[in-house]
Amino acid sequence: MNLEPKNGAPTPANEPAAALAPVDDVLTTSGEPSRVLSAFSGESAFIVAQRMAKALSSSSLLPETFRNNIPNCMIAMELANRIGCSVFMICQNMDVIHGRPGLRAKFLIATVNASGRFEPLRFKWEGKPGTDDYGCRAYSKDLRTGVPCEGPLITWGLAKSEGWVSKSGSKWKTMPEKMFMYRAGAWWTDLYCPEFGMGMGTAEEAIDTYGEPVVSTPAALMPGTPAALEAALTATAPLVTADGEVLSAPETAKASGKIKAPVDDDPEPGSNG
Amino acid sequence: MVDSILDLPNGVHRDVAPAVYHAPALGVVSKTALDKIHRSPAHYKAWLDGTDAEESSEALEFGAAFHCALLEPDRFAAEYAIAPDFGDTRKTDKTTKEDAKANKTRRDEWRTANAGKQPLDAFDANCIAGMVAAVRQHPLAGKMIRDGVSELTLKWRDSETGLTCKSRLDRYVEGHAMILDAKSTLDARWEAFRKDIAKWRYHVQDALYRSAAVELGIPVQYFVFLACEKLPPYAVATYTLDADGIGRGYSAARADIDLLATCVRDNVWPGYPVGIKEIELPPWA
Repeated sequence: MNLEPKNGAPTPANEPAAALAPVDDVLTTSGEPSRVLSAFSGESAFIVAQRMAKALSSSSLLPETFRNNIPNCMIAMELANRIGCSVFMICQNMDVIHGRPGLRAKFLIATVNASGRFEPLRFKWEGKPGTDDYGCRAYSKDLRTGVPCEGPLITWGLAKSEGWVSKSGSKWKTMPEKMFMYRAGAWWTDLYCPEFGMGMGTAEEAIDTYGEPVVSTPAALMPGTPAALEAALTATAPLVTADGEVLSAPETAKASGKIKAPVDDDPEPGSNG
Repeated sequence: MVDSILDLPNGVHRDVAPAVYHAPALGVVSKTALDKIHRSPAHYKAWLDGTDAEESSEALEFGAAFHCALLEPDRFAAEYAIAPDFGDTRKTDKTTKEDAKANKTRRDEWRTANAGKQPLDAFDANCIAGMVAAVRQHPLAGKMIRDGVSELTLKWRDSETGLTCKSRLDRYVEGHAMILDAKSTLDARWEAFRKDIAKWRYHVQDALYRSAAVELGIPVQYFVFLACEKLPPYAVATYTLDADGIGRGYSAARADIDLLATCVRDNVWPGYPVGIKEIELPPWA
């Protein structure tokens, strides 16, 4: 297997092919064992992957978690490589909930459906509506063996006892049907093809467990980097000679004029001695 | 001069008296209000009604004095008076009755002469002077406080709930699109200060102030915590919260604002949930 067709990111033409040496046998979504190239298999592979990640991270189409974040992009590339899908899809379908990455249930279900290993996931409802026993189960069939594959039943009782319903802003209160199907699909995947989830919980489950995701933060609130501020502060320092002569006045960024600074400058702290 | 924050239009205001800004008002969102409602609506209501336990503590008063000395030195000079050591004002083994009486007289005379000012004992004043000097000499913090405007009051309307919101920026430096928040602490190290952030919900403050800036069209890229230790050598550290922290602060603030809006609408102020919950020892026990 080659890294290039999997994640869509081109391999630099001038890089030796050996730089991305196959290192691992894994099961891809198609079910075929494949030789996977890992960015973490060696120095050359790492350097190539780092260049790819750098290019990727500069895309304005990426979610905040990945934008200008080379390490996160490298992890996304690694996941895409192992699952066998586009790295862009990974970026678009991965949420970081309080520092924990999770793939969206919708993405996992789509991955199962596209894998060619199973019939598309279906859902059935069991129990009496309105009771704790009422719930949803995902099911499918192994295309190779014809064996039916039934997932665990997700019930109201389970959702309540796990605390999913009582979380502030819980979607289980506002869109329970969709949440049942997402959770049933995710748990089905966890049992029959756990490699799709790469050991991560789903983003929805992380929200149910840990609260609202970071991605709910409006982009306008996101910070600049501390390094940039440090550089700006350093850059605005006046040049002063050993004799105390100021050679260049500090150049602050252009003020928008919304707020004017007070006229008095830099008095000593007061003391009533 | 306005009597209530509610009399001000939405926007950025300077020279709002601290007493006017800090006066609680029903349904007005502030960091303090969110902390109260976060504990329970009953705690918020008690704070609003003035029936909660007196919150003013030595630490808070010290922090306020440090803020004032660092960011508003003129006001510090006008409003604070540093009390000399009057000695024991009660008879002890080392102080005679006459000396105690003389000390008490000197203290009372000093209080009369400085009526209307906030007294600061000599030890605290010395510490505050040391802290201010340390900040000014710090390679980055010193530059942060060189420019900007102190004690800006922001008032805006929360678009989701319609509640009035207010915040008061320690310092805003437009040139760096930076809000600066000075914190006095016993331990400014990274590991210790992040515990302070969690304990005192500074991340909620960060998110609330950023939200205010967005609503009012004030450019803000950075919210810097300037942490200065209260004791020699008055070590200084500067921090900005990471994106995850801001996100969690935003989520927490959003949940608190929504809860406040619900309580105001229904005029219901419950305490803690009713029920018997199993309680476990903390992980470190």
